[in-house]
Amino acid sequence: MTTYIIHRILMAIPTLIAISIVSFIIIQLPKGDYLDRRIQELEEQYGDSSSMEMAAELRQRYGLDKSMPQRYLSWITGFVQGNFGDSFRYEVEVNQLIWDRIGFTLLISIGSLFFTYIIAVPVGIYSATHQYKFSDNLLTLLSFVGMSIPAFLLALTLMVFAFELFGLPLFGLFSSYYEGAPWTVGKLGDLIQHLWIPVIVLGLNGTAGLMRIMRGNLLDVLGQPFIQTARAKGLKEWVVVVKHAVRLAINPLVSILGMSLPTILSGAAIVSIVLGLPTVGPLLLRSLLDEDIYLAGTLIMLLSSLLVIGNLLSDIALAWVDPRIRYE
Amino acid sequence: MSNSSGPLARTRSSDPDNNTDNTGLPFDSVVESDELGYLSYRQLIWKRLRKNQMGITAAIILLISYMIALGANFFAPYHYNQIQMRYRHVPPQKFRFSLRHGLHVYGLKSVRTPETRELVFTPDEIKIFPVRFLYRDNQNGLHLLSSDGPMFLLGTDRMGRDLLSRIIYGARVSMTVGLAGVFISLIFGSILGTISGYFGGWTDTLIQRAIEILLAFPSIPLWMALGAALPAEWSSVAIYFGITVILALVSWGGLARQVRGKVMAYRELDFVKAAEAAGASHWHVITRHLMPGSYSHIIVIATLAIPGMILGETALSFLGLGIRPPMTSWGVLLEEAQRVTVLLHYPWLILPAIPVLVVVMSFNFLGDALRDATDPYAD
Amino acid sequence: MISRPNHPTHKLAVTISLFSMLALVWWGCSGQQSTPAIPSDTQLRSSTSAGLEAKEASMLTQKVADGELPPLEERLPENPLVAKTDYDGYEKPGSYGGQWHRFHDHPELGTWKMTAGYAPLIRWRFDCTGLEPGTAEAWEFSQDGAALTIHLRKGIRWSDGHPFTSASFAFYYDLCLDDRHSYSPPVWCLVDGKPMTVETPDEYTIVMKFSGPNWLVPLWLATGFWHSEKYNIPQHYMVQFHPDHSAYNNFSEFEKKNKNHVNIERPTLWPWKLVKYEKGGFQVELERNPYYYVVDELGRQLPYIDRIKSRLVPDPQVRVLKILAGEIDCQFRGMQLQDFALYKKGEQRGNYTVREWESTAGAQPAILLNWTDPDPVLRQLMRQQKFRQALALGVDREKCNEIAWRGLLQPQAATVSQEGWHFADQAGQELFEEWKKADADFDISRGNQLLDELGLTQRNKRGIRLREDGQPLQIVMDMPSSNLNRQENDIGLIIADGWREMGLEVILNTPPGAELSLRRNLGKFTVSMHGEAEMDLFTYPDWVFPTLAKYWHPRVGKWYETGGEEGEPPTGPLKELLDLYDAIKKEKDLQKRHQYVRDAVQIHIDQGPFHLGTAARSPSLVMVKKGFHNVPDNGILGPWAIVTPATSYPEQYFISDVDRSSEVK
Repeated sequence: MTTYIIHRILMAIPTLIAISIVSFIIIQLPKGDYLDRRIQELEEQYGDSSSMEMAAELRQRYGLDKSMPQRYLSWITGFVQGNFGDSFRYEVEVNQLIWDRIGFTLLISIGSLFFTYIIAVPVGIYSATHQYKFSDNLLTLLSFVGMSIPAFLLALTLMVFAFELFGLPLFGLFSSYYEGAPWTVGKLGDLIQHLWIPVIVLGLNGTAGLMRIMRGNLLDVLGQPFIQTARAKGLKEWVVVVKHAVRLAINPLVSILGMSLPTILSGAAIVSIVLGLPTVGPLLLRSLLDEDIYLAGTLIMLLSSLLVIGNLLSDIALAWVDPRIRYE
Repeated sequence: MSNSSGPLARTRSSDPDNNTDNTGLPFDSVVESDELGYLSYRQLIWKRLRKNQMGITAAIILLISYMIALGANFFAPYHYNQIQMRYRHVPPQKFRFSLRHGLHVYGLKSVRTPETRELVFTPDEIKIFPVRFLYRDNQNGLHLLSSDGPMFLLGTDRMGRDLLSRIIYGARVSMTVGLAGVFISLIFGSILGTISGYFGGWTDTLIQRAIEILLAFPSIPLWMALGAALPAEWSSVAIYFGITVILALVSWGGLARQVRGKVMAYRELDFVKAAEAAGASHWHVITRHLMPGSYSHIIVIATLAIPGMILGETALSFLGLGIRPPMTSWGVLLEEAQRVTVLLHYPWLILPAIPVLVVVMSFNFLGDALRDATDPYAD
Repeated sequence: MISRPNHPTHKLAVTISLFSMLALVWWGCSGQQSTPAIPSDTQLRSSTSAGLEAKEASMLTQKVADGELPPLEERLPENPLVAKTDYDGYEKPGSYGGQWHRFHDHPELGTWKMTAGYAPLIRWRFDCTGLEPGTAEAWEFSQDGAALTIHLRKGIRWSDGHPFTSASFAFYYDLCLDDRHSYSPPVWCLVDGKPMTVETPDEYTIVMKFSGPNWLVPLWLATGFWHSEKYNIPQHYMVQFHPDHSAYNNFSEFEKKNKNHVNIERPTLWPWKLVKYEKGGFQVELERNPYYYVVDELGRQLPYIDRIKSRLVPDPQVRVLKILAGEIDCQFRGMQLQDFALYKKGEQRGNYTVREWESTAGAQPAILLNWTDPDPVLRQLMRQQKFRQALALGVDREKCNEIAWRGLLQPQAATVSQEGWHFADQAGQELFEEWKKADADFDISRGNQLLDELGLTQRNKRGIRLREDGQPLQIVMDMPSSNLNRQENDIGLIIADGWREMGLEVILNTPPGAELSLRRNLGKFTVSMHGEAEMDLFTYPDWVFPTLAKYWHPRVGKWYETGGEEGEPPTGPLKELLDLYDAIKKEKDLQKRHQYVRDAVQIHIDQGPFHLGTAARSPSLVMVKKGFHNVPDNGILGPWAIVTPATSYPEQYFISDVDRSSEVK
């Protein structure tokens, strides 16, 4: 088991390095660099020579006059030491910008995974045990709808309607009062209130899909002989279902957890952009459009690392469950 | 390794792990006719498919959608960029029917509310405009429906462009991007997957590493980065192709893995070894023996991948990184609706979400049906 | 975690998770609960509703009592600046206290500086009719205009209590002359390419000496916040980072610490000083400056409002929602005209009103025709008046107005602001009306006729006119993408349609953000776009006079600004225009200067158009919460040079308790 883990970890490292190189290159594909964009902005604002002065000075300061490989090397060496470079736009170290946001991204992602499982599993069970009845067909239809809706479309709509109908200004992750305030129980409650919309929006697709899978698995298991035996023994139906069948049917869902991580993280990115949440998504989009290279590069690296780690953990979990895999 | 025959393989409606009948030969190598009372694999699939009502419905819906998309000029009452100054943000109009006038629409009166300066439209019952069918206009274009007056069945947008027409023309882009992307993905993925699975060794490891790296990228950020990199001075068409390639690039990895798994499974089978022993070239073995076995599998995967592509294009255009005006796609239409003002005052502009939903759902149903049909474990 | 189902911990785990989920659901659904009481706001407010007897805010009185601050008489200068109240919307002297919530869209706080980051020596008047004293109480030129003497108010102090003297300006100018620092002598101090000299005979006098008459300098000192931002440098604080007086060996730390919108320790002259700048500019807080040098009519120290809380909200839709939800107290920029109806309808619920100020824009946007087009054939064509007139006739301004601006603007030719002080009398207004109508018609057939008269009668198979070299007459129009600027993009499409009808082939080019302006400023375009609004052509001449590398005259402007070293020398009408501008700089008499501007406008009318108009004069939206007082009912909010609303003394806006008692935050 340990050799398997070590092996997987070792494989992950060159992958991450390759990712860093590729992302760095892609980020700089658009023509011009951050400063060109910044000059444009300054110009729109002040419209005169002051913008040019600032630009020359900035160019030198940010090392944008160095070549790409040099920039990459200086960035990546810093990276390993925890120094992720500076963000041009915010004029602050990338370090200071990202940790909060990664935290919230993870919070939303995990929250939505949680939500997904909490809803999908019971609904899937219900659907399987009432197969072909009206409720099952309805749920099946709903699940297909749920899987097909582009969730990010819902984001702004939900927010607007929550505001219009219920008067709840659920923009961002905190209301103005708690923003920037130290953490208290009240702030936590505020956060949870605001989390609902992103979590629901994000979890929608996954919930529907998972429900189908749960239903399918359970139906499979319920068709097996040992279930008949259990019933024959006189066990109550719900005992049969929950204690015996579900336990077995749920196994594969655990391994899907790992595979859902990429979808969830990506989905979180786009939903946050739409809702303007202080998470990685909007920051990433802005930095890509600005060519704020160190910020963008770091964010992509971090997201990819999260993915790699997630996959790793899920593989390990799988290997633990299914011994055959360890010996491949 | 753990992902190729991953957890999904253990669920019921998953990809069948082998496509062989009990003689150990792939189904496709059996060529029989109905007279002998023996159905070939293909015919079996078709028979099972026909029983699946959802799948058939979905297929019909998709067929109709593609027909409409390809015949956009005919089906759309207006051109997608036809700006009509006087009819901005008109709410959806109704067809009216009377024995005297037949099918017709009313004209529109507009009044500007002084406080908010909004133009408010009301039907003007005095002005009656009959609706014509199969009308040929003065440039010789044939239109299904036409009228001299305003006939905006789904309302108009901020430039007075008919939403229904824009949705129909948008279908052209959105639905074909999916197909084209999947096509590229398929070709690329199958080839690489087959090579990887067949030759094994270093080639395999290299390709697998590359795929792993690709799959380790979170897809939306990768799309965003590539989308932002598309030079903006490219024409709309060039950008369209660029988007297609981007979408395909990001997704061929999964397909390649699946194909590789299959190829590796087949490679060990007797009939392949027999062919090799008989002196068949690699090419022959690959194309005549290995790949045919995977076709059905590939078709299923492709069908299920198309919705992902459509959603990908929608997402990219939504972020402003995809298709750009003057070209239009469903993603562009939805992006235009992403305003609080629109959501609250002109909600009909969100209607493009419905075709997206219907098409994606149909592909899902169809893919599901195909998967069930090709699953040898079904009854 | 696949544990055995019967195991007690398994059951416990399940029960706990179920309960926590229920708890979360219940908590989440309980909607807007009452948020905890006593925000710091109430504390600040409670003691202040007293009345007009207090001459300073109570929080300051407290500090004086505690010995932390000197008494008011010592904090104010001898002759404090009195805030002007002669505008519609001024109600009365206000009460102290309150928090102003707003948002900004960029970490550099540019929009905030336009509101309350203005502390220049000389100020623009709010009605844009001229100048008034700021931190200086008087100024005068020498007879020949080659020396300007400025008298500072005595006793102004920085926000840390240190006196504000002429040493500040001297320190600033030394930096300009210092090669190691990024500042260079400002463009306005150069006469014939030579920079000024600065002398400070005493603490409250600054003497600037130029190598020739330089009558426009006071205007430059007042323009924008960016000049005053530079010359108001707290030398007593910054000197510790200066390489000559410290251990640092270059200016990089100095430049970092000099950022007054980031560095909370840097003393300032602003009404509110920065007390919190969260990394990246996401949350910014400012608090009253106890040494602020401006008072109201009753001699009470300003500002009234205690604190400002500003949040970075880059997403326009979230901004809309925040305003609708009533979370913003007063906002000047950051609202789009498209959302006007939404804001209006939400007034009741959000408890605010929307005011329409004037943008005075003369062209939204102006279509720039490159006088120095890189392609020689197009260049020749551009210099022919008939060609430009034909292009002008192909612009359907009414359609542009209806489509891009919902019919709310006015179609006209491209002009600067009609409220500009150059046109302030009847003759001026008549001239301006003529300007608005010059070549502002939409007439495709006349356009076609003009093009035919130019000899462009040959056409190719697709109906495109051919140039004299046989190539199809192709025009590349640069414009922003729809995301960046929807109106301009829409207008580009409309204009392209019009020009195509005249037999021109139009290629729409949407380069990404930075490239758009690069192409424009380097002169590598044929047609481009930019919004046009300007009140004062003396300090911001470039719409009319080609003095900088911008707009429709990039290469000629380059020639002028580099003193002839780069760019192209002016010819024909451009030379006339530059001669006029030179005359302005040397002219002492204000009325004569205005006349030169009018002469230049006449050249535009007679020999133009050099840039084309589309639609103009949009309203600028301002949002004011109920209970927020003294905000002007209307004003000009568009051009940045005249620094509105800062010129209306926002330090005299105040929040009244009664109306806001239900406010929680």
